[in-house]
Amino acid sequence: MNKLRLFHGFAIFAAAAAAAVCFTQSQWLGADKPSETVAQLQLLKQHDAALNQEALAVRSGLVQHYDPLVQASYRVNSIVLALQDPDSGIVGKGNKDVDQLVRQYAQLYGKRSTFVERFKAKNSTLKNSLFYFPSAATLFIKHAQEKGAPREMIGNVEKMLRDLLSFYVNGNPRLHDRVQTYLHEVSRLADDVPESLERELNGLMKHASIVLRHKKQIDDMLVQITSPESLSVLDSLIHVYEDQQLGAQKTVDHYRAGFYVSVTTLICYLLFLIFGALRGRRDDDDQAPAVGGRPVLASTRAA
Amino acid sequence: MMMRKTLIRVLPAVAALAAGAVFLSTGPATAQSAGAAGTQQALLIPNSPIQPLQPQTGLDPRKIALGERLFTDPRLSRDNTVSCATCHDVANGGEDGLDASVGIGGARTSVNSPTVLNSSLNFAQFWDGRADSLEEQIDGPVHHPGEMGSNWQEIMAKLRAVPEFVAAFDEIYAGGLQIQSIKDAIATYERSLITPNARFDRFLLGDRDAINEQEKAGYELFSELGCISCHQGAGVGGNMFQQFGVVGDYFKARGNITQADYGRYNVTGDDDDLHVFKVPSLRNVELTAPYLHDGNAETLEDAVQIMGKYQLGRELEKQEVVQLVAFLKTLTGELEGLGNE
Repeated sequence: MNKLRLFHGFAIFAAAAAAAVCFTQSQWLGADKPSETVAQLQLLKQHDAALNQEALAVRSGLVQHYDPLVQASYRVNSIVLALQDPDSGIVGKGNKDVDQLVRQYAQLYGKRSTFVERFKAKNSTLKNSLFYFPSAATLFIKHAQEKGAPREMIGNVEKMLRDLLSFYVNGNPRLHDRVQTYLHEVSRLADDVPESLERELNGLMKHASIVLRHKKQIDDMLVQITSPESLSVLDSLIHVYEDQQLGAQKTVDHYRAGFYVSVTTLICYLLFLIFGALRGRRDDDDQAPAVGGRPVLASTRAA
Repeated sequence: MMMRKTLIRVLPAVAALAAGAVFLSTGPATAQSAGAAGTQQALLIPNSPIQPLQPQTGLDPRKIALGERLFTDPRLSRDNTVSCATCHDVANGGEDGLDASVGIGGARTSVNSPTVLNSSLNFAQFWDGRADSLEEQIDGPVHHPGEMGSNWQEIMAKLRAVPEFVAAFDEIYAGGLQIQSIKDAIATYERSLITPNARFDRFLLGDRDAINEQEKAGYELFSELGCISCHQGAGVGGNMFQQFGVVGDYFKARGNITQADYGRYNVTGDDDDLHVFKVPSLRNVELTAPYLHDGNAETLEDAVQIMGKYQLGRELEKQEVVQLVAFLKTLTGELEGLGNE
C-alpha cells in the first residue's frame, strides 16, 4: 500500500515538475517583449527615413529652419540608445548577429550625426554667400566701371557671376574649375584695383570661394546622410531579430504544448485517483454492517 | 451522494487548475504593445524660419518645485557658496550679467554663462555642445573645480542630512533621493523656464500690430542680412553649431586666444571644429548682456556689429544696427512676471 502511495506521489510530482519546467520555459519570450521591439525597430526605420527627408527639405529650401531635422535626429538617437541599453534593449541578449547589427547601425548613425551638424552649419553659410555674391558682384562691377578698374578684372567677375550661379544649380565640375580660374585671375589682378574697391573685392571673392567649396561639401554630406546603407542595416537587423524571435517562438510553442500535456496528464491522473478513492470508499460502505437501525441487505436476505 | 459531494469539491479546483494553466501559458507571451508612437510638434507656420514658442506643458509641478529648490541651493557647491542660480539668475535673464562667472573661492569661468531660460530648446548644452541633455549638463558645473568644485557623494551626503529634501524625493521619486533624481528635478525645473508670448511670437501668430514699423524693418533686415540662416527655429538659435569667424578672423582681431576659444574642437579634436560654437538662442537677448562666448560684447549693439563683420562680412550702418536691436528686443518673452513691456 505504501509502495503504491509512493508511486502515486512520484507520478504527481513528476507531472507537476514537468508542467513547471515547461511553463517556465514557455515564458522567457514574453519577458523580452518581441512585438514591442519590432515596433520600435520599425519606428526607428521611419525616423531614419524622416531624418533623410528633413535634410533634403532643408537643403531644397522647403523648410527654412533646422528644428524638424534636430527633432528627427533626436528621435533616432533616443531609439539607438534604448536598443543599446543593457537592461531594456536588445543588445547583449545572446544573439551576436543582433549585437553586431545594432553596433553597426549606431556607428553609422554616429557618422551621419556628425555630417548632419556640419551640414547645418555649412548650409547656413552657403545660403548667405549665395545670397550675397550676386549683389556683391553686381555692385563691384558697377563701382569698378565707375572707378576705371581693369577691363580684364571686370570681365572675370562677370564670368564668375554667371558660371558660379550655374555651377550652384547643376554642380558641373567644369564650371567649378572655370570659376576657380576666374578667382585666380581676379586675385592676380587685385593689386590693380583702386584701394576703395579692395574691401568689396575681398568680400565677393570670399563669398565666391564659400559657394564653390561648400556646395560640393554639402552635396557630398547629403549623400552620406541619406545613404541607403543605414536603412539596409536596419532592414537586416529587423530580419535577423524577427528570425530569432520566430525560432524562439517555435521553441516556446513546444514547451507550451508540453505544458498542456503535463497539466492534462496531471489532471487526469488526479481524477483517476479521486475516482479510485471514491469507488474504494463506496465498496467499503457496501460491506460495512448496518448503522443506525437500517438493515444491511445481505443480513436481511439471510434472515 | 458522498461521491457527488466530493466531485463538487474537487472539480472546481481541477477546472481552476486547467484554466490557470491556459491563462499562464498564453497570457504574457502573447501580450501585444502598440509601441511608442512618435509625436511631432505641429508647426504653426511651416515655412517661417522663426517659429513661435509654445508654452511648456505636462511637467510635474512637484518636480519643478523641488528642482527650483535645488537650483537655488548653494549646498550643491563644495563650500556652500555657489548655487546654479548664482550664474543663472532667472530674475536676471537667466544669467549673471558678467562676462565670466564667479565660482567657488572667487574663481572665474573661462566663458560667459549662457542663459538658463529656454535652455531646453537647445539641441546641445554648453557653448561647445559637450552635453547632449540638461541632465548631462549638470555634471559639468558640479564637478568643475572653478565653478562648484563638488561631487555627487558630497552633495548626496549634504542633501540626506536635510529631512525636507529626503521627504520630498521620497514622495516624488520611486527611488527616493538619488543622483539621477536630483538631476531629473533640476532638469525638469529648467525645462519649465520657457518664455513664450514674446511680442514677435504674437506677430508670427497673426497680431500684425504686436511689433512696430522699426521692429518690422529690423526683422526684414535680420532676414536679408542672413542672421536668420543660423538664428532660426523656435529658439531663434540653439539648434546648430557654427564657426565663429566665417568671413573674418575674430580671434586674430581680438587676440589673447584661450583654450575656450577653440570651441567644439575641445570636444571632438577635429580641425573642422576649430572656433565652432553652438549658435546661441536670441530669445530674451536684451536681458542677457554681455554677449558672445567670451563676453566681449558689452551691449547688444556691439554684438550685432561683431556678428555682421565676422559672420556676414558686413560693416553694418548705425541705422541698421538700431533696427536690428529693435527687432531683437521683441523676442523677450514672459516667465512668471518677467514681462516684455
